[in-house]
Amino acid sequence: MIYKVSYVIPGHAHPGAIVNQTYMPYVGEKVRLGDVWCEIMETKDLLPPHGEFAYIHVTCRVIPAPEPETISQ
Amino acid sequence: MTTPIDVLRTADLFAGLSIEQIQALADLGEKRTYQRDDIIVREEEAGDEFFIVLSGQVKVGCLGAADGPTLVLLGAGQGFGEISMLDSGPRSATISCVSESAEVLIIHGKLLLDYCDRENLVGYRVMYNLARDLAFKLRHRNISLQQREECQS
Repeated sequence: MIYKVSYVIPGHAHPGAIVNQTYMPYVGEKVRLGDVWCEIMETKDLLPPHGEFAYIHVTCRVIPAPEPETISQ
Repeated sequence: MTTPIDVLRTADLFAGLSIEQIQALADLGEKRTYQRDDIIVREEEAGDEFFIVLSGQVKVGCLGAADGPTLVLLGAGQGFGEISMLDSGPRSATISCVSESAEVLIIHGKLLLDYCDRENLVGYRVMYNLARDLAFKLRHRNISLQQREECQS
């Protein structure tokens, strides 16, 4: 399955990101969107799956840059 | 060097296509690597190339400058440049590299559209995929704006 993920950061000027990835994003995951580090707060289906693609909406909050060993990718 | 098929198949443009069809489309293009802050596409300039991010992240901005307002970041699998490819108008945004580097597959629009004309079933799928991707980008934009307004009110 390929996860097409819409990352949104409420209350922040950052416009978010769209990324296709081969694993489901998860709460607590730390992701880098441009120069900003975020922690995933919530994930939910945005649209029904279609073919090999799942469409996911992710809500994040900005965090300080994590230590290297805590980064998921 | 060819792009691994497991990377190509994560791109929206190729959804629903066979490995052979994906490879044929990818062979129309060329890979290029950009470094942080490199401008890939500049707003208002002419161009019909379609781009697929293979790795890294790019920033979609407006006002013609790399440091202008950012509309969205696009990561692996995402395409851009489709608006000018489809309507022959000038570029509607400036796209720059925001990761250390970004690898991009560049397909000239005429080659892609000619291929779609020759291979109707592939062409239908490609156009359908482009439409779905544009719809998803609109949804993302709507949600971002809605959440920003909620936070400001």
